[in-house]
Amino acid sequence: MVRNKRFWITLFILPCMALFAFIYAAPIITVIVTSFTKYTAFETPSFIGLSNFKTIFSDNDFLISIKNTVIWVLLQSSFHVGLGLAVALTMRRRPKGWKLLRTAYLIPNIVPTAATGVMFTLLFNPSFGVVSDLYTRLGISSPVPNLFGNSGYAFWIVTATWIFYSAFNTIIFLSEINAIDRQIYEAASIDGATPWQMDLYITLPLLKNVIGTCVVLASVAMVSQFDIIYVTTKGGPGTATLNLPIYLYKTAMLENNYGKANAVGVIQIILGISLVLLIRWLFRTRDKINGDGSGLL
Amino acid sequence: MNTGLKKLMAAMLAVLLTVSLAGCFGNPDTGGTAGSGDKVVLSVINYHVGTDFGADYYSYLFDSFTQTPAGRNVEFKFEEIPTTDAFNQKIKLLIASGDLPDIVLNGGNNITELAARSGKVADLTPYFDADPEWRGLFDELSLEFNTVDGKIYGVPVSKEISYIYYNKELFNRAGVTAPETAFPTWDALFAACDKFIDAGITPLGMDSADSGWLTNLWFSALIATQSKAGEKWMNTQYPSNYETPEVIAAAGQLQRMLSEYTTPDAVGGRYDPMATHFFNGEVAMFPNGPWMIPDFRSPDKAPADFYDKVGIMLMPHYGMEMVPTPGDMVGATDPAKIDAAVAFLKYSTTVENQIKALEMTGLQPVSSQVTIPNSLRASDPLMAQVLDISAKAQITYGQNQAYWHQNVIDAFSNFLPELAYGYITPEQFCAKLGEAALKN
Repeated sequence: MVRNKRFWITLFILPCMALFAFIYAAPIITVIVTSFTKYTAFETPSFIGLSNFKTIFSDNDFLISIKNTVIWVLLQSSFHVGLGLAVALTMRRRPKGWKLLRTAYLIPNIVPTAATGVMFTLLFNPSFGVVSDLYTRLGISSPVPNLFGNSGYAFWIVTATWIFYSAFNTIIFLSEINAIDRQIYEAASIDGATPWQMDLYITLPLLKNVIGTCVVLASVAMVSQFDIIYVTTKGGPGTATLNLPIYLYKTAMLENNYGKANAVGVIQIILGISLVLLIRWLFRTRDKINGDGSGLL
Repeated sequence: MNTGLKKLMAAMLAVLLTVSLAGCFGNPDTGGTAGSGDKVVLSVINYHVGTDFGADYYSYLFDSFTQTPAGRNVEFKFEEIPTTDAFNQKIKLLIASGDLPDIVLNGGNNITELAARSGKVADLTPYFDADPEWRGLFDELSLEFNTVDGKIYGVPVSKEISYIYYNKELFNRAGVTAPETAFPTWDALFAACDKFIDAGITPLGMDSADSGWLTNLWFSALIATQSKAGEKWMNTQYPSNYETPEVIAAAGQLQRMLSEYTTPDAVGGRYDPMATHFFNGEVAMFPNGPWMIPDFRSPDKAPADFYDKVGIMLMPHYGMEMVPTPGDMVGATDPAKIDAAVAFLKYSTTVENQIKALEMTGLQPVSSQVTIPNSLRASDPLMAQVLDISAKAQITYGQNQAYWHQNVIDAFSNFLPELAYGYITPEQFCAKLGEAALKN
């Protein structure tokens, strides 16, 4: 009977494993292997050891791309997730019009990111965008700032195109909040707890695991963020918005150096896995410290 | 439904999914073979589609070829990819994977060299050698431009030229007299720009996004007309040293143009909005090639009568970009397909089709044997003026998109804003280009 059950489990897992092997595992193995080779558009791969890694780590642009990626990961996992949580906590109290707010907040997530990028490029166009219009209406005579074109603020403008849209996290938090037993809040209310105290001592501790999940998802998404940066600035001006995926893309498609690009890919994979492990470790450690499972917040 | 039947159906579904997955990795349809019936099926990835300036001409070319004796047994299987950028990326990937189409249209981006060195395209030298009449259509420079390691891989279909379009109305409004052929010096052009500024008119069309096409045209002209050394530099393919006096001086002048003489959205801006500025009469001078002329009459792009407001002049110092185009290649491996593909490329370069291309798209004939029909002067006087003014060019030079490595063009585009806002000096700008060149 047990052997028969194992057979069926294996059979049902087989398609999933085949999908994983062909779509994920095989390319990842190929990327890792070819990262140690000289491999260009007109050369078959030949082993060169760590040469590609030495090259990228001696390239200042690569180091800048890591720095920008890490800053964006930190912003995404703190401010972006925190904003989603704050909106969810506000909606938990079901203020007037909360359903409309929930729907409206979700709309930007429905728009494809490439379209969002084009939209912001047009909105911030210094000749005919909203900033130009605002300057005209306010009678400001100084030149209209070129928000995506000036490295003085391009990084923060690109960040602004996604950092406020945290509806995905809000939805996850709301569903988790709705699963919390109402009786806990009723008991706290009878004990005289204020809404703020209920959030602090009941809701947030019980959301600990899902916060960890959202932080992992947000961080990993930022390690692979590509489309909106490509559409708005392509990593420029200069290297102001250059991140790892854009650096990888340029190495592969403009330098035609696939071995070096795959070395960047390996670093990106390592960074992604490290972040996942680090975040899981952080949350688990806090668990042990508290002991009683009251959470980190 | 009993448990046994459920298990059986589930097992069948699992097997079906696994088999269909395996099917995903089977051999794709390669577009037919030479021997499929009487037809030779040639695969083509075509980027001259939709609103592309050459869409109508290439549609005519493919259709009319199948009505010629050489093309009667040929059938084309098309994949359409709008925009040259997307097309080039796809072709680069196909070069790496070895799945090139039978006819490889050339969108630039150093694709000729990549394809040739990969060994995935046919050596066309024997075909040129076997047909001296065909070979005689091309000058040596055009063939040399498509030669890698002594072998010809591309069939050039046109020459690329560029110069300055100007808006006659804006010149009149600013009180600037347009030169008959060219401003004698850059200082003369900048003096005119100052007059435009005084009149509240933006003098120059420029951009920086994508490849910074318009700014690239200005920069090429600035370098080539600095000195003999600059002219030589601008006629060198894949230069590695960008920190030469003439390139640095040109970058300095470019910085001035970007900061003083162009629209606020030029920095970080793409070509299309800049062209719209010109069509809307917001910019006095706009560098580009003859392929833009049909747009002047297009009701979708320019106001009515705009065509009549446009004049043409060469770059200062009577300079003009004149560069052979990277030629279309043959990716087929089957001998019958190679023959058919070469027959098509020969057809695309007949004298009649070069004239047709000129009339329909503004593509300049690659062959000096082509006599321009008098009817063109009546039907398209601006195009005729282009041909007249081309003969007056005293300095001709290549163009950065044709002669620079792709990642240098990208660095050019990325660091132009830094140059424009004064965050880097012309020397640092040129050093950045040099750093990018050394990565190749």
